[in-house]
Amino acid sequence: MLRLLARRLLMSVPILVIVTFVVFFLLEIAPGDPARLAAGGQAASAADVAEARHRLGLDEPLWTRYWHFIEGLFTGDLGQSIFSGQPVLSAIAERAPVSLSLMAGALIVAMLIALPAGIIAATRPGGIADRVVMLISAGGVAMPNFLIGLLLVLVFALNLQIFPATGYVPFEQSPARWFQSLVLPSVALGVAAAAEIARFLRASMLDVLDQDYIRTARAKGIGVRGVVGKHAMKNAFAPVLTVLGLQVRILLGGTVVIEQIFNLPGLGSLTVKAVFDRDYPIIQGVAISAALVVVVANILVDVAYGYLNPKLRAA
Amino acid sequence: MGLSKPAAGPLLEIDRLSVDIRGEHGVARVVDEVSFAVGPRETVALVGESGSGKSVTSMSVLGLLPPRITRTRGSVRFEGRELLGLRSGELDRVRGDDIAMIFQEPMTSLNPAFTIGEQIAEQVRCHRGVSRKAARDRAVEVLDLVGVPSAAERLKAYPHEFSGGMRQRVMMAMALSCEPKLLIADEPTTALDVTIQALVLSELRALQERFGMSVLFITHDLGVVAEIADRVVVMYGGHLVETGRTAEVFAAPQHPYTEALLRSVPQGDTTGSRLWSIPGAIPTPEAMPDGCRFHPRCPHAKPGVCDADEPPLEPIGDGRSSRCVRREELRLSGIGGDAGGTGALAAEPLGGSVLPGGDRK
Amino acid sequence: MSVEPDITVPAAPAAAGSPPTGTAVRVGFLRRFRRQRAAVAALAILVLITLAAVLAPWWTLYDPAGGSLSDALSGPSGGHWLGTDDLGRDVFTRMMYGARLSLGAAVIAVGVAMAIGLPLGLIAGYAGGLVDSAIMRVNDALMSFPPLILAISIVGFLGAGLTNAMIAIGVIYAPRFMRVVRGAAMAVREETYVEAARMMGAPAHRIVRRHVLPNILSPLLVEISLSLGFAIIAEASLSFIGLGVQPPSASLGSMLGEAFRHLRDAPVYAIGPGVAIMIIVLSLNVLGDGLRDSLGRRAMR
Repeated sequence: MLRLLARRLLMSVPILVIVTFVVFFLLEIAPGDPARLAAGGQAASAADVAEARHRLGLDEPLWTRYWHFIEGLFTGDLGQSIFSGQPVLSAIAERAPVSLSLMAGALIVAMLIALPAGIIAATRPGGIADRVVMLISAGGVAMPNFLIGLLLVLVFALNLQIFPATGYVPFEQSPARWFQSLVLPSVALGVAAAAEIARFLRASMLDVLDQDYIRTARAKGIGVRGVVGKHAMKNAFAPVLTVLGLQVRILLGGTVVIEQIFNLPGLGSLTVKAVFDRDYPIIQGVAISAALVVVVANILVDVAYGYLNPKLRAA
Repeated sequence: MGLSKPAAGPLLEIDRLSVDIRGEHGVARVVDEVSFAVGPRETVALVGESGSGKSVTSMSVLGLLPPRITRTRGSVRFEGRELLGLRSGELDRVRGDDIAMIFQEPMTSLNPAFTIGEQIAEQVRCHRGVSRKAARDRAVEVLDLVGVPSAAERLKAYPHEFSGGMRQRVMMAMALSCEPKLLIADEPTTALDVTIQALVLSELRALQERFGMSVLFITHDLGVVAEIADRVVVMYGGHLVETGRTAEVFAAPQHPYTEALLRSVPQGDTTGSRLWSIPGAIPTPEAMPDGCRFHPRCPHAKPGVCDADEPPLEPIGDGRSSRCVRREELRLSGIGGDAGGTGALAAEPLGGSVLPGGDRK
Repeated sequence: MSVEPDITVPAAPAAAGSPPTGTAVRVGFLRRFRRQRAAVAALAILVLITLAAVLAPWWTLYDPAGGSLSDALSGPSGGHWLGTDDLGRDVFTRMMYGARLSLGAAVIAVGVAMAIGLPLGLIAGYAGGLVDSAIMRVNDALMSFPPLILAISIVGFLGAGLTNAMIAIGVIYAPRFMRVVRGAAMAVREETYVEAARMMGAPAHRIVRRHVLPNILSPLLVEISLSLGFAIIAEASLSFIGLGVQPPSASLGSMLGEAFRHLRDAPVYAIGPGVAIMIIVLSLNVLGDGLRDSLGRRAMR
């Protein structure tokens, strides 16, 4: 297990290096002069621009700047916001809990829906429940999350007024209201993932239920719950994990839109504001942290895969 | 146990069992009115080629056929209690406890995701309601019993860390863990190579004596039957075609199919010589011929007789029965101790190696 | 789907076994596809929507950009089937124009993705070795970004607007094409007839054109169909936030963004564009699944 983890960590190094390069390189494709922007835009004098260029290190060659960029990453220095001057790292740290809770909430919602739906569909393939699940999940996959968010706000916040339409309450302030403020966003973000996971779980479950060892388990008399919930599930869940890993990427991206709708002060709204402000360091910081989250999530998925599939552990 | 049935009555009684399976080409009857019984401490071999319906018969005892596509009729009684039609929750109390089953494919019949210790202990916990610790101890005990070396350490091993023969022993340990009264063994040795086959068989026999359980042994290999079974039930195309005590059936088969199966048993040193096998294959249920189901492949088939009406299963005394209309005119040859010398095949009715009337395809 | 004129039976040496020609592969593919009723229906719906959207200027009754404020946010009526927006413009008309823009943007974005992914995938799959691992590492790195965050970052640096959004979406979906094409190219490379052609000294570009391309056409078609669906959603997301298409133009996504701002007063406004996106994406998914199921021998995965 440790060897699997070590190997996966090692494999991530080149990927992360390329990630940083891609993010660094984004600055090069930007039209206009970031130095001028930092110096205060069109009105800035040539001297101010030159000073800003030197201050930002933009007068150095590409590779040197990339090297500084990497150095900065290792010391936790991701630069400062061009506008507020706040260090990028602290801006991200401030916002990350919101986005991560939203993502966790979405994953929980997704699993709460997908597990029963996928299992029920797979245990009675072709039945009514199966068809309903397949139909709804096809719709769920095709529905953009902001559309679901819109619907939820309309129904539960504006009409029924069960949940707050927008806004965020920090956990420290009031756990109950924190929870309330995350319910609708989590559902909006999680539904598409639920649909995708349910479809995969169903397919994988159908496959597994056909295996000889399921027949053995049934012959042991351990009951339907033991057969499906334990013997089939542990095997069927391995391929689903891969999807789960992919979903982390998509969910993290989805937070951007969902945070806009529900007015949550997370990384997504930070990014969108940064884009409108052309606050490049912030955008770069968010992009790198997001990729880091995905890489870590993928490692976790692989380790979990090893747990579910003992054969892989030795490899 | 002799020919006279023990007073207690049979342990397992299968009565006019029919199984219909819905497949691509509509509903097919894969088991047709099969009746036989397994007495206490008795070993009955259910014999036939693949497609004979023997495995389906054995699976229907524990209700292991997929319910959506199968329909079972008739009766399966265990200790006088009807098993067919039991809800799966009630059946689960019998499965693995009173009746255990082991399967043909040791490589795929164990769950790859759980340790073998867990897979054995789980069953013990489920039926005996004992603690995890006690269940684990029991697992070690049965693994020891079936000859898995250093059982205690192997509890934490996963199936892929065992060889095929060892896995079948694990399967056996699992089946024995709750001391079943009946063990159903569905071709347990077919996937193993010959030396391991013999080991597993002798192990099985020893265990059976030790536990005093009954065994329903499903196989296509009559050679195995001779070693293990008290009685033989021969199936062909979903029908029971012959049944009787092993020694008698081997010595003097009463159905040409049994004779043909006997002929395909390797005798003594067979290295270098090719094994004889029955030409053709069992017809699919949709293409079952009129008359005797075996007649297209039967060397003794007589036009106008064998292809006319389906022969009934007739009792011929001594607990034997046969489904062949020409039984009395034919003198079929068998093998075995009392009749035919030292295991040589009497070649009288079969003549040459090419069978007349057999459709070689 | 137009059939390329270029595909003829390749002059493979006799020893090379029977090469599956592009045409032969495709005939079986089409026959299997026709049996997928849901996919055929989805294709029909897509054709219908595309026609309606592309021809919108010639059959819709209103000016998508003009309206009178006195009509603003009126509900559905005989005159305005889906009501009007906050500037009194006919929602149905704008929806048709919006669909036109969304579809067009998705097609161009997927075009960009293919332009990047196809050659790189071919090179990686056909060359193998070090080139392959280098390209694949870049691929992995791109796949490590949440798609929408990478797209937003790219738009952030290039500037908001439809063109930049399409480029960004193209970049984030390029790895998908790279992977599909690479896999197919690697599989074809191992076939005896390709090996034979290589041994006969056929130049790489001809082998790629004659043997590899025709064989990756089907998986490519599946990927195009599925990616179009993703691209529609991605464009809608960007435009919803306001980073994609800029007013007064509208795509389905930016219309939903407007609808969201008026959710309290005119909830009906969201229905049209919302349903339109769903139908289009659902049809593309169903079509993609159907195409994949029709692939037969060279199944994906």
